[in-house]
Amino acid sequence: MNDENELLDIAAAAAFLHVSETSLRRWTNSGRLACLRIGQKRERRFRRADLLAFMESQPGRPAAGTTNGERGNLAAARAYDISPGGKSHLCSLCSSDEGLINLASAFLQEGMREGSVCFVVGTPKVRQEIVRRLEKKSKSSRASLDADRVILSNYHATPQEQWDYFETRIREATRNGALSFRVFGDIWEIRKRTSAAAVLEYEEGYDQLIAKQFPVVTLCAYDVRKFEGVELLQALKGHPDIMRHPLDRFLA
Amino acid sequence: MSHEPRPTLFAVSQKGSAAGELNDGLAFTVGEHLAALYGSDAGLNALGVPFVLNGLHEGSVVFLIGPESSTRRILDQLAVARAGLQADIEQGRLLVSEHQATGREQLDYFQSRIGAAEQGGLDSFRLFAVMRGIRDNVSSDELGILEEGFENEVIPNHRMIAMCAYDVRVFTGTEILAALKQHRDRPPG
Repeated sequence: MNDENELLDIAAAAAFLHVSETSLRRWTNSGRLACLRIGQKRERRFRRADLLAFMESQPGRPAAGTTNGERGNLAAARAYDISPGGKSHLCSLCSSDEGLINLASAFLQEGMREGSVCFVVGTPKVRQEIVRRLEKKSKSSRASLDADRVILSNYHATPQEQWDYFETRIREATRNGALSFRVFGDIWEIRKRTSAAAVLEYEEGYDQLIAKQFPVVTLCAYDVRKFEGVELLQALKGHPDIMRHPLDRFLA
Repeated sequence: MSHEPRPTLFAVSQKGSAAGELNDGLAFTVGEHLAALYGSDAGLNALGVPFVLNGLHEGSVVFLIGPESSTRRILDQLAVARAGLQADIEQGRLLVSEHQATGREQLDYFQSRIGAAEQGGLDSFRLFAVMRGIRDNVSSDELGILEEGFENEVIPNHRMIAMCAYDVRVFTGTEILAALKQHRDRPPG
């Protein structure tokens, strides 16, 4: 998976760099980014190593000594520079499983570094992938997982149950000394068994009852392959906190 | 959280560091190429009318491109707000058209009109593009040619502010994400 010589097609390369396929075409046409051409159609293929090198050549590149794996997720990893204890309710749009896992792991890793208790809410498969990625990333992530500072769960059956769950667990953790929290949620898990209106109801309640009440930074992930355009616009408008940040930090 | 049917929606730009909801007072910078999302006909007008109107007020040549039904609605509202609108059209300060059939033709259209305007001493331009017209009539390959050409040939060489408006009722989630990325991911330097 992390072999630097692995060849990625243009869609995978675009997801890796968090950019559009058009940009990749432009950069390869201009010679700024290396690619290989295969087959009669001369389709582009990209080495991970070339993508990493291209990313490194941009201003704001990682400090020397950063591992390749960490560099690979840099675009997302430097995204959430929110002070611990702050309150923020953000959303992200992703178009691949890889993108969702990248966003989640970068977001959660930052929370772990600052000592936050982290919640991961989504299907078992998504949670498993996120944990696997976190375990790979660093020893500190492993330590957080071992110390139960990462709490994994499905979404509850109703919005009220979910809000109650968060409130109970956050109050409990606070009594045990926790000062800050992060919540990552894969919103499709709610949407797939309810409706667009139910998602909206959940988000509104969460915003009022949890996000504005506790020192929580929340990232709600919307998979664009599954949501309608209208729902995505509602999501963007419903998370005005993202307007304080460059939007591309939330696109994967 | 807010979900009232507010017509002014969401935009991102390449040069701005933050996304924001559009309003009449939002200032634009020459060279900006923005994506805007709307979910109603009123939303399209709320995006397009002030953008075009402000362009005309500042003396820019304004391109209004999209399906006739969409541009007609915008023009109707513009006519209420600007008495000299017909003169703007007749004198080539407001250029209204549907999308051309290919990316190259669309680029040539821009270049010829811009060239003519610049020869006449006008050097400031705005483009408001209703993107559902492109989606309906232009292949994704042609769209790629248009996007690359617009960013490489038009934006860097002319004093242009462009806004591409995407109807979230028509475009899929994947297309919307691609559009947002397209309007944000120019590499530094």
